[in-house]
Amino acid sequence: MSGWGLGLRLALRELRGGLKGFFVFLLCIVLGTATITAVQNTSANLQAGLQKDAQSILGGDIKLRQIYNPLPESVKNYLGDRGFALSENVETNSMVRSDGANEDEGRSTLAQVKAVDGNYPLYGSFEVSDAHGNPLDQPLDILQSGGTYKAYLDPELLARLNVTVGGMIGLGELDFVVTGIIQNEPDRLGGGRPPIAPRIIISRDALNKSGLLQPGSMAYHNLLVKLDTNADVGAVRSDIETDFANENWRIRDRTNAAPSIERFLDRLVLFLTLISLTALLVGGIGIYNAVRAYMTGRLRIIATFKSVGAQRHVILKTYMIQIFILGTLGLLVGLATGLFSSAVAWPFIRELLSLSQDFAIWPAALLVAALFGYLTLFLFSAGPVINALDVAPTQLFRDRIDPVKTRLTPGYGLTMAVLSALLFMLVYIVSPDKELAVYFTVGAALTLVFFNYLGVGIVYLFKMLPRFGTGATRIAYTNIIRPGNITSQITLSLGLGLTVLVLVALIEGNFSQAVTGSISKEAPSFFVVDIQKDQLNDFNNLLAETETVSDVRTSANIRGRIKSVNGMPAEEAIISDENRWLLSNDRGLTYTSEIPEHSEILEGEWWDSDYQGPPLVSVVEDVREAFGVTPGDTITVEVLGREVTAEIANIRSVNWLNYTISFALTFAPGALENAPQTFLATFRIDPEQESAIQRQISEDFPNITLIRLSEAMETVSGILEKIGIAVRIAAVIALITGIFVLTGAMAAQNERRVYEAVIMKTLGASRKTIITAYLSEYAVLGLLTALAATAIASFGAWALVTKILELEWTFLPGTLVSTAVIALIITVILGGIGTLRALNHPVASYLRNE
Amino acid sequence: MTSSDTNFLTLENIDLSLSSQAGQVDILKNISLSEEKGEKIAIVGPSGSGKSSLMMIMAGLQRPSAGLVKLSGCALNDLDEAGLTEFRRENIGIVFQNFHLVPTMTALENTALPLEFSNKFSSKDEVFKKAEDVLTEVGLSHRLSHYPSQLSGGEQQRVALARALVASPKIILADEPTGNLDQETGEQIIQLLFRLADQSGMTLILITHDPDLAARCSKQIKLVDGKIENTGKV
Repeated sequence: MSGWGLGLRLALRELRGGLKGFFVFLLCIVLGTATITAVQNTSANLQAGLQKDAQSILGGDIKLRQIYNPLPESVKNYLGDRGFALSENVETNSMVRSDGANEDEGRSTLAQVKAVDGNYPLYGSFEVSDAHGNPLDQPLDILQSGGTYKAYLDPELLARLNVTVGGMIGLGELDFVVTGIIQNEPDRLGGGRPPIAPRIIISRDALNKSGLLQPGSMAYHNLLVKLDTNADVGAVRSDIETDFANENWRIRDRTNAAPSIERFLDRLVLFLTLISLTALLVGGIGIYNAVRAYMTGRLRIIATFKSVGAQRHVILKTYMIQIFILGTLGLLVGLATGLFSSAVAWPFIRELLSLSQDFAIWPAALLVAALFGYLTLFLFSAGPVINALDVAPTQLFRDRIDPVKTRLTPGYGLTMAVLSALLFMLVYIVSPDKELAVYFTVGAALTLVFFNYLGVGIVYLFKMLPRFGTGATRIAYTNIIRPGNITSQITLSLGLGLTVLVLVALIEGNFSQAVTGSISKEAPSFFVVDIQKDQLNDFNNLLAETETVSDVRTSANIRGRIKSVNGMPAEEAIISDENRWLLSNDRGLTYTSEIPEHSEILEGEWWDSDYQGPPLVSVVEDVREAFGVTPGDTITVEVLGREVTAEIANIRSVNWLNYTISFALTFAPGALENAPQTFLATFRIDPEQESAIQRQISEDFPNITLIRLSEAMETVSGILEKIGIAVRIAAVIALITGIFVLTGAMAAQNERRVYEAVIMKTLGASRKTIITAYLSEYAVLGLLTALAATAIASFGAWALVTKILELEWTFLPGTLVSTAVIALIITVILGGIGTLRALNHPVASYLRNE
Repeated sequence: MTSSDTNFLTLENIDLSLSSQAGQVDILKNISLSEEKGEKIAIVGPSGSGKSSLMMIMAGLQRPSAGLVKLSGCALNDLDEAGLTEFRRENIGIVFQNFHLVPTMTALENTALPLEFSNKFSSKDEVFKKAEDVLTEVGLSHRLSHYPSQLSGGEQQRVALARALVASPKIILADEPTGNLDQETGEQIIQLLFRLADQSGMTLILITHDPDLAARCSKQIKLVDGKIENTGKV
């Protein structure tokens, strides 16, 4: 007999007792699964949105991109002859100026310029409005029409320049009239450049005449292709790659429209999923406590079942079915809550990323959340049920029955091993980053075990101490070590949630610190690009004449590409896919006699400052990893058709976080001086002078682009902050779950507290003594838990920040102190509530009942 | 009378020692007895003399440290846990002092439990019909769908009795069946128990502190300090 039918019948009868004692159990499942559902379903909507809008995000079915030069006519003809629709655009960064009523009001700021043709966009809709928000008809026709040059601006750019629709702005050598406000740019997400500045859209004709496109200007030229509906995108792409095998442009198609965005979102979703899973694991402790308490209450019934001939497997099924039914109830509420949260958040996310995807419910996302929910449910409830089955029917002959004791029997151990393995497999399967999945699982398991034994350790240590104190202190001390103490419950319930919260705060804090922290100290105020050779002297003179300018560094920037390594074509010589970026598009090359700032020689030696001899090159670590080269090997680069072969003199590491200009390939003097080149520069200036010099440079050198670090960092920080909110919400849910778990654990102690309070009151203890005793106990345990949580989280964050993110570690005492305070507040408040309840219990009625 | 009727319950040199925090405790010492089918036996003795432990050994709920237990021709020592459970289901009915009814099940469902576990009946209806018949026999036909909390102590013990009888066991073991009942109700329960045992020819073994009740049994076994002090036909 399988026993399932009978098990179900008995389970349903047992459940007539209602949900008493299952509140925390249900809450733990609801919170955990709701968070995972929200993350998974939103992620599925994001993926669907990116896929659905792939063509408009990419701007076409196929996109060819080349830096510096437009794509050749040959490829346009080749694609045009096949009947495909084409559109070309150019993207570059540049300064945009606005003139105020008087000189002091003029402003200039960095903008991401996009120059489009009449066929833009091939997919999606380009929407522009007038000053009142009314959509413009045919915005492209207006843009391409004759007369004054016209520009459409992001609302943010309008604000930065303090202009309105109808106002005039300067870009390069031309003046433009602001004709409309960009409401939707369908391919903004697929632009592939970090959104460090707001957008301005002009016509290609205007860009060509603006003087911004000088030889060597950092401009990205895009050719977008719209295929016939029945054309095979893979085949066309493959044709282009075959027929233009020697070209160095980057080609992408709609099947992978926004890889960097997708990679980023994948990472974010993984991070959020893992934190949500932590919430579920913390909830697992609540599940364990609730099931253990429930099974303790069922021991007589189990013994009775056994005495009337029930087989063990039938009893096991009876209780596992009950857990399943109750768990499913919590799970369904969790799934619904998660979907609701996802539905509420979706419109904001959709607008942020300009996606057309409507909110949808994804069964696969629900399945993942449900599987996580069920596995956690059974992982934490199987133990108490299995242990309860060991109750002997002989106990029915006794007055008192012992509570369920946790014993790792072979059956228990095997069940836990199988369920843990399944949970790990699920984490592994859903994680795009397998390494992180392994780290997380091992870390979470060790942390759980640690906090379990931390309680045991605290009790042991306190027992080793000589008995101390009198009155309240002594009661607190004995409460911590007495049999049936709540010490492990506090460390376990709060520990994991606090650890995650501190971990997230420390990683986030260190990340922001790394991105923005060094600005005030060593970073330059401005990056300057596209300085022409004939402008260099005037530019340097301007800086020299300006007060407070310091640390001016200029570097030649020559475009070229790696052709071969030790005589082998670079495509064949590369051994690391991660560094394939070295081969895509032209790279910037430079030459110098002095070792660049913030570089450290790892192998070989730097050349003499007066070196004259065969070409030498210094390469960064990435090049070594990409090709496995060492000093003495040779690298050949192609600069505008001329090949230069240089011996690798040294390999160096660069600290990019110092916002320094550094090149992957830096040549010794003599090899590249005569190649066509532009210049890059960095300089520092008093922050109050930044606006003035920015305006001055953009007026004197309209083609030069200035990136103001403080402004760019503000944008980056804004983005980080938005991401941080989602991550923090997930972490806080883990902590809230822990609070519920602790509430449940403390509630279970209520009867004992009342009993103790009654006895102490009877023996003459004052309310103050009793309150002080209990609150001291909770405060000590809360603080010790917080200390342990911050120690573990600091170690985890340090490992992640220094080993995986490869950033510098900053100790953030504020985070640690606030964690300790949070833990203290939680334990003292929860403990305080229980204590007051116990104190308010009338002594007489209790003793009468005794 | 067959030999299995004469040696229906045999205990040979039973010892029971349990370990506790205070060390090894000898609960039962060299207990031997042989009882006939259909007898009514009272186990008497002071608290802590080993009465409950002896009953647990007879029920196969407790394995002795030494000695042999045979019930209805079956050596309980040879059975594993599952075998003992099955044997108990088929042959033994137990009545507890505290009734031990399942609070979330009705009187009918509580009574039907042993039949449900036995899987001998082809349909659920059959199981519940049999349970209903037994409940009618103990005078509770009007309380079938009542939960234990809705029944008086006497009624609860009748349900427990019905549950012990429903699988037609060969022996009933009753641990102070009237211990939690007032005198009048207790008397009714005992009369019922004796009548049903007589009707079916079951062996009845009960633990009691009540000398009058012990005197109504056909035999008494007096335990003192884990040993049989005397046995005697009444």
